[in-house]
Amino acid sequence: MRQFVMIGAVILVAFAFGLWNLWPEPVLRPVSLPATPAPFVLTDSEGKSFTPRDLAGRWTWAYFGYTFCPDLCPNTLGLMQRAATGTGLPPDLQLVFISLDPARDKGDRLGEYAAFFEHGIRMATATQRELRRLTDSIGVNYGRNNQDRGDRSYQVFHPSAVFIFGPDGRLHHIVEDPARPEDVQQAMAVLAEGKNS
Amino acid sequence: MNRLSRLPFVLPALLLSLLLAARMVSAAPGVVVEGAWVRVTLPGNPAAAYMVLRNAGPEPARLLEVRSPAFAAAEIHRTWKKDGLAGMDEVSQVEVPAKGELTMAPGGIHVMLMRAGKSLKAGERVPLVLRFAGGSEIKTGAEVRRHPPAKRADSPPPLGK
Repeated sequence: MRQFVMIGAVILVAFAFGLWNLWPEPVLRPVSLPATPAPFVLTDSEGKSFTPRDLAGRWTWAYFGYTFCPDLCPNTLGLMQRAATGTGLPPDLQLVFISLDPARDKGDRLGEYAAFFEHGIRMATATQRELRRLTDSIGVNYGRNNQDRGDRSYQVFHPSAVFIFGPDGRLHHIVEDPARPEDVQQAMAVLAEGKNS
Repeated sequence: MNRLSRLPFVLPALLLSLLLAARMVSAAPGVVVEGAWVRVTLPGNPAAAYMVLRNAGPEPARLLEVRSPAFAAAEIHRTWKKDGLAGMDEVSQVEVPAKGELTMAPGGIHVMLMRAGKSLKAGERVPLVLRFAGGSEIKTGAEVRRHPPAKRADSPPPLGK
């Protein structure tokens, strides 16, 4: 009898572990552009709310990531900033970083991260529920890995793309691979084209 | 022959073998490290090290481990992009091809350095030790930077350190 209980427990643990490993399963929700984001209320690093109203009347380049990200996030944000300021940051363009890791990116952390980028990028986050509502509505997926070593060193799987919102508040372009300067320059061209159309 | 009279033969042999052993761990044959730099963001954050490894030798060199006395832990990572998502996987080894090179660059293979002993500032140098299959090691230094160095002509100008 005890043996069966043991075997059952092992199977249950293995099953739970399997499930845990499967999450976050990338589920891409294709969007047809331009897409209207669901109403959202984020909070920026200065404690101000960031809502769809903040998208209106200008172009927005948004990147979704987390401040503990050592490689792709600082690199892409740097590329965005250099591409945007290389031609002089147009007054109708804002750069936004949205943290998908509110558990760690709280308190002064986003403010410190904004200072690291010389306050050229507005940084905001929200509760997971609020973030999901926004990301689901524009086809963005994200998740967390399970390699927490007890020191909260987990990774957040986040989009590699830069999302470009138009002055109408809708998502107009997705720059799939902004890792190379030429991709960002292409995004600049897209932006200019968008402004002229 | 008594024990003392054997010394003139034993001692040089011992020295020679020590020298040979020292030479074996001092460097991977033919591999040089170029342009190593470490990106730091906020204090307490993991940092990423990037570099180019050039292998002039006729055999591929397998890099097994990178460590730094300035950090409590280090892992070789590869950033992946799949179905619109990005993440990082630890890799157990990377190969520097024979007569070829391996580039560790943002968005690809890099060394993730964790738990810095002290807060690092741009402009400082941190030591790195690269260990290859066969036991050979390369000691090198990496420049601490906030943003990538502008190297390629087509790269936009850097934001400053």
